[in-house]
Formats: sequence, C-alpha cells, structure tokens
Amino acid sequence: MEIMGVVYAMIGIGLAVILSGIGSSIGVSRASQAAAGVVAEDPDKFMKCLLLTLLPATQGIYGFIVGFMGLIKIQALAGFMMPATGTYISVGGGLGIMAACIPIAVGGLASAIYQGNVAVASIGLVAKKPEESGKGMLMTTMVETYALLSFLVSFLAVFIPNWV
Amino acid sequence: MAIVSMHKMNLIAHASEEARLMKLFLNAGYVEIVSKDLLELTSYPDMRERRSVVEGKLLKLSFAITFLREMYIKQKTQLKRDEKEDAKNKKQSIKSGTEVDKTLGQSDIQQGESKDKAFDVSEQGLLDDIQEEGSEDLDKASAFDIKKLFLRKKDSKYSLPKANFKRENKLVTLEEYEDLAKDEVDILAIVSELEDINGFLIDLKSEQAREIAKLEQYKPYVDADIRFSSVKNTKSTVSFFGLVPASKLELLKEKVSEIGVIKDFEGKQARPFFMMCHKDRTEEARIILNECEFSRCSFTDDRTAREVINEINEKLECLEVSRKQKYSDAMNYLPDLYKFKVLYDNYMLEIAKITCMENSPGTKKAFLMEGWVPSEKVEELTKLIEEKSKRTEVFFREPLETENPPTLTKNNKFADSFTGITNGFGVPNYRERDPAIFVAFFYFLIFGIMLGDAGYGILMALACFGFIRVVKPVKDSGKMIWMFAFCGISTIIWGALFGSWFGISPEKTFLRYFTWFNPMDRPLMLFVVGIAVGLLHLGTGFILKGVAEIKAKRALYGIFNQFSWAVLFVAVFCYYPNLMVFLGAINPDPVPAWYGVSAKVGTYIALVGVVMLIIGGAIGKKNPFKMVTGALGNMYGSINVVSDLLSYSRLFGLGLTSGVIGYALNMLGGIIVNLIFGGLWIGWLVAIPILVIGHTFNLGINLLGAYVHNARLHYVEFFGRFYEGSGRAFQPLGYKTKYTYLDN
Repeated sequence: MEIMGVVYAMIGIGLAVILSGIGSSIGVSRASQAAAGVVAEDPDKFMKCLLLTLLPATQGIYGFIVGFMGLIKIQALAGFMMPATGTYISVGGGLGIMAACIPIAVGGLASAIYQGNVAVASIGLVAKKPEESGKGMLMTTMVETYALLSFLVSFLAVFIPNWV
Repeated sequence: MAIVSMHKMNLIAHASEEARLMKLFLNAGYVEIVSKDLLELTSYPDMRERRSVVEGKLLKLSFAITFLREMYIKQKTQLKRDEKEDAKNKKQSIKSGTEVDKTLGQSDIQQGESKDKAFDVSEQGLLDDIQEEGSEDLDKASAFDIKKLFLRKKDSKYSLPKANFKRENKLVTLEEYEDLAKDEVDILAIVSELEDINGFLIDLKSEQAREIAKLEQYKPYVDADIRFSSVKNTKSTVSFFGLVPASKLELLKEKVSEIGVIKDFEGKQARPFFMMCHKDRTEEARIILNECEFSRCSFTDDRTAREVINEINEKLECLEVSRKQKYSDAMNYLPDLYKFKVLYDNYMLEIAKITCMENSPGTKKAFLMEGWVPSEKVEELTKLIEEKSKRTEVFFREPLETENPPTLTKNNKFADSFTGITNGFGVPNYRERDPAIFVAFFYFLIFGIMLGDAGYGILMALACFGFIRVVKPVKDSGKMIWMFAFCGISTIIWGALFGSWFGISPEKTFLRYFTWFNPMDRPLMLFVVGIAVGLLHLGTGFILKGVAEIKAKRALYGIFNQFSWAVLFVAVFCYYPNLMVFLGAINPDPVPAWYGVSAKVGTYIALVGVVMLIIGGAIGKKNPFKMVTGALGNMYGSINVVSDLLSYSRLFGLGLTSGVIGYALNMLGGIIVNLIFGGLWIGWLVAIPILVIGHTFNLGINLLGAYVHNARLHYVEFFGRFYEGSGRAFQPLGYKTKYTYLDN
C-alpha cells in the first residue's frame, strides 16, 4: 500500500497536464477555425492570425511544467525512491502534490477556453482592421493573467515544500 | 531628440508651378500637406475625373499583380505534380527497358484512359525528354544518383523563376517612376492580355463544369451498349429505355415478363434497361414502370453512352491541356511583374498628389497650400523652392497653441527600433513626451528575462543581424528586425545570468562564471527579480507622469500623487532583503544585520510615502469631507498598484517556461540516447531531430509569449501610468507606396 502516495501524486500530475491541455486544445482549435476562415479570404493575414491562435496554447505548457516539476519531486526518474527515506512518497505527500496541482488544472482549463473565445473575437478584429491586431493581442493576454496566477501558485506549491 | 518640432508651411503659387512643386515635395520627403481652409474667392479644385482615371489604372495593375500571383502558385503546384508523375513514369519505363521508347505513344494513350487525370500534349513532350535523359543516365553508374537528384532540382522545366509578389526591398527614384510611366500604354496593354487569359480561364472553367455535368448524366448508361437513337417504337410495339433503382429491378423484371420483354444492363445504384411490349399494353406497362420509379432516358444521340462518355473525356482532356497552356502562358509575363509594381506605386504617388491638390484651394491662376515641415528642414526647403519654383511664395511659422501638429519622432538607433511597440498603442501627441527611450530600455530588459536562454538568444541575434546584413532592409522596413536583434542580445545576457544554454546549465565550462542563479533551482529568486523589475518599471511610469504634471504647472499634484508612489517603491526596495529571506529566495546564515536596518529605513520611507499620498488625495479640494474621500481614494488606489505589480509575475512564469521545457527536451534526448540505444551513436541520429524540432518549437512559442506579454506590460501597466498616445503620425508626401520605396 505504500505506493498509494505515488498514485495520488500521479493523479494530480495527470490532472494538471490533462485538464490544462484540454483547455488549450479547445482554445487553440476555436481560434484556429476562426483564423482559417480569415486566411481563406486573405492569405496575407496568416501571421497575425497565427499569433492570436497560439496565445491560448500557453496554459497547456503551464500544466506541463507543473506536471514535470511534480514528476521530479516524486523522483519519477529514480524509481520513485525518495532520497530522504529510501521509500515511495508518503500518502500525505502524494495528496499534497495532488492538491498543489489543482489550481493550474482547473484555472488552466477554464482560462484557456475563455482565452480562445477572446482570440476568436480578436481574429474577427484582424479580419476587419488588420492594423489593430496589437490591441486584439492585448485583450487576449488579459485572460492569460489568471492562468499565470494559477500557475504561480501551483508551481510554488509543488516546488517549495520538501515532500517526503 | 524625441519629438521633432514642426513648422507650419504656407505657400501661394502660380497654377503652372503645381507639378514642379509636387515633384519637389516628393523628392524632399519631409513635407506633409494638410487641408487648407477656403479663403474668399477661392475654391477647391475638382479632381474627381483625374482621380477616377488613376484609380482605374490602379485597379487594373492590382488585378495584374494578384492574377499573376495566383497563376504562379497554380503553375508551381502543377509543375510539382507533373514532376512526380513523370518520375513515376520514368521508373516504370526504366523497369520495362528500352521497349518503352517504341511503344511510348501507345502506352500513353492507354494510361491516359486508365487514369482519372488525363495526360496532355505538353506532358508527353516532357516525358519524351525525360526518358531520353533517363536512358543516358542508365548507362552511367547508379552512384551518380545523388548527383542526379540535385540536378533534378535545378531542372528548369519544373522550376519557375523566383518571383517576389510582396514589397520590393528597393529604393526607386522619382525619375524611375516617371520613366516607367511613359511606357504606361504598353504596360497596360500587357495587363489587358492578362485580363484576356483570365477571361479565357473563366470560360474554360464553366465549360469544364458543363461537360462534367453532362458526363454525370451519361454515366449510368455506360454499360448499356445500345445507341440512344435506336430506341424507337414500331407499328405494333412500344419501347422504353431508362433507369430504375437497382432495388426495384427484380420486381420490374418479374412484372414485365408478363407483358413483354426486358433486357437490363450493369450499373451501380441506377440500372439501365430496355423493354418492349405490344402497343395495346402500353398503359399497363406505364403503370408498372411508374411503380418501379422508372426514369425515362431523354438522350437521342446516334451513339452508345460509352462513345459519348469517351468523347466528353477527350474534350475534358483538351480543356485541361489548354488550361495548363494558359498557366504557362501567364508565366511569360513574370518579367513584367516589376514594371507592374513600379507603375502601381507611380499611381499611388499620383493619388497622393491629387489628394494634396484637392486640399489646396485656389483660383484659376494661383493656389494656396498648407502643410507641416520639420523645423530643421525649413531653411533647406525655402532654398529649394526659391531655386526650382520661381513663381512661388512660401512662409513658415511656429505652430499655434490650438493647432495639433503631426508627430515625427527621432531617436538613436536603439530606441528607434522599438518605436513599433509604442506605435502599436498610439503615436505620442506632439506636445507629449516621447516614451521611446524608456520603452526601449524596459522592453529590452524584460524580453531577456522572459525568454531567458542564451542559446536561443544567440540564434535570434544571429538570424536578425544576418538578415540585416544580407537583405539590407531599406528605409524603416527593418525596424522590427533590429528590435528582435537587440532582444536577442538581451536574451543572451539574461540567459548567461540564468546559466541556461539551450536548456543546459554550463557546470564545467567557463560559462558558469556568468551564472548568477538558475531559475530551475531557485524559482523564487526569479519571482523576486520579476517583481523588482516591476517596481522599477512602474516607478518610472509614476515619475514620468509626475514630471509631466510639474511641466503642466501642477507641481504639487505631481509630487504628492505621483512621486509618492516612487517613494513607496523605494521603501519596498529597502524591505527587499528581508522579503527575500522571508520568501526563501535566499538563505543567508546568519542573516546579516544590515537587512534589519534596511527594513527599518524602509519603514520610515514608507511612512513618508503614505503621508504624501494622503496629502496628494486631499490637495486641491476645499471641502474637508472631499479631502478625506480623496485621501482614502488614493489609499484604495494602492490595490490597483499591487495588482499591477503582481502582473509582473508573468516574468517568472514565462522565464521558467522556456527553461523547463528546454530542460525536459534535453532530458528526453538523454533518455533516448542512453536508455533506449544504450549510448550508441545511432541514438544521436534519433535524438538530434527530436531535439532540433523540440527546441525550435520551444523557441517559437516562447518568442511569441515574450513578444506579446512584454508588450502587454508596457501597454497596460507602464503606459497606464502616464502615456496617452493620442498623436497623429507624420505622413510626408510620398510615404504611401505599396510595392517599392520612394527614394528621397
């Protein structure tokens, strides 16, 4: 049963990567669909649309980083053996890592989807007024702030404690 | 430095001077003509006719350029397809040996029939050539294969000359424009030829569609080997020829067998059949047929369906051939592309001139003009006008308080390359401070932290400086590249400080001496650094606003409301050592005594700051109640400032992202090489492409992130403090061209 700590931690890590990844996929795919429409009309706007399309992709990356840090913390590369104790991570530790992963998992999921919506609207803006694409980008990054805050909390919560 | 002061130009000239003046202004490149108010007895000239003529020509030329581009892309894909097909045929022919040459004609016809995509004459020609080459090559050793591959690439049959449909990176003088404009009749005639090709292609397309529709109609009958005309009634019999759904065929057969004879043919969903019965039983037959959803064949050709279909296919092939022919015809006009572009811009300048004249009221003999000229150019321009245009009188004066001159900024190379960032928000007002130098400094500073990998920085800087070196962008077109080149340098500096070279920390090389701290090991340190940069950035914003307030004669307001924040930020810096210990960013043991002293000093400074803020809120208000609310409002504003400060945590997020992903990629590479391939060199063959692609992706996505988030920090957090950006950019005559740059 001592492996349960690892299981809990892995669930958390999985959630961080999967949920934020889902969010980013939805956001990017929505934006890409809109961008494809605009590019069909005017191929010259491709670069501007691409920049907007990629903005909701970051949440997935944040989730990945938190997950990666979690893997390092539970010594996934050293057979899950904690150096301090020589065994698997404790159940408490596993649950702690799982909880620490929740902010970016949920925050990333929601913010990426909503950021995708803003990106779609901004791509509409690029279609009509390409010279204002900077403002569209600005509005899209507004949503990202909250993903960043979630990431900050998750990262620090995973990284700082000495999990045993 | 910064915003160039402007002079208003007023001139009055004889009508005959118009062209000369326009040319002079275009060549000068620093005169912006604005609309002048009507004076007594003057009127704006009516230029609508001239304008519509020029606009018509512009439309024609823009059609020519876009049409050529379309044709170019189509021809390119066509050639690629041809090349593939020929290569395939060549392989086949090599297999079957030399016989192919003799049977070439036959096999082509067979292939043409068997394939959906038909062969065409030009392709056959190509095929012949290739096969001759192929048989020669066959004699040589196959070791030359690689060489052949390279040669193939250069094969002129399959490659088009390079064509640039975007803006030319070239300065064109006014004389060149005018020289080319002399040939405008010829050039426009070429455009008409292109229009003909376009018209031909459109007709071709509709004909093709028509033939295909016809083909679809005949298709169900393909296996019915009866001539359509042979379906006739005789004296005593009635014939029916048509289609029934395959599911109803059996039923039909059964029923018809009672009244007449039926023959059915092969088909997919709809089965063609022919039936015959006695005249007296026509009604009965009709009822049966209706039951079975019979649809009568309406064709009366004196041929079988297969013959008709073959004919249509042949016709389609012919159409295909002439379509391809037209594509390659259109390519003959590629050398004229440059002329189109230059002529297009010639008319763009023409439009600019017309707009100028429309804004300049006049009488029959003379006209008035008004515009803006940078003050430093006034003397030069006066001299020029005196020299070249005798019947012109020009006056200059300082702008009035009520006037709003356009903004022309002038900075050193470094600050100038970042103006794109400022202009993305808004051009500074003529009477505002140009934030260029501050934007440049902070954008440079922050970009490096956000990307934070020296390897990526080197790549960026090399790519950008290389581009500048090779392409030599003319005029302002290279600003953005310069910006990224500088940002690359910043990234190198910060990457070295973070000890990250393509995600590898230089533990044993001399590079480790540059390392300050590694964000992967001490992420909190990065967080603290990010917030410190935020304090600097915001503080600069507050100070700039304060200075502007003082200049606007509201010194007290500026000092107490704006500088107070700067004072508070200084206090925060005094707290910083303690804060860093508290957050665990540094772990000195024992904690030096000056940390506490610094914090104490900070407390006093903070108190001063808070008092200043309270006073600032109360300033300028007479009602004591309002003074209290003002002070409280100022205190409440600190929430905004704190949230803005926290926004700088994105430095932490983005800075870590590139580092961690780079590290993870390298680890993946290590796993592939050491664990999967056991350290063999084959492992590197697999790992290197993965590493290259991965790092490219990482660089790309983080470059975008750094670019956008850095801009956001400037627009929202920094500009939100002090900058309005309500100005209008200076647009001198001749600045608007599309495909070339006017040399002036």
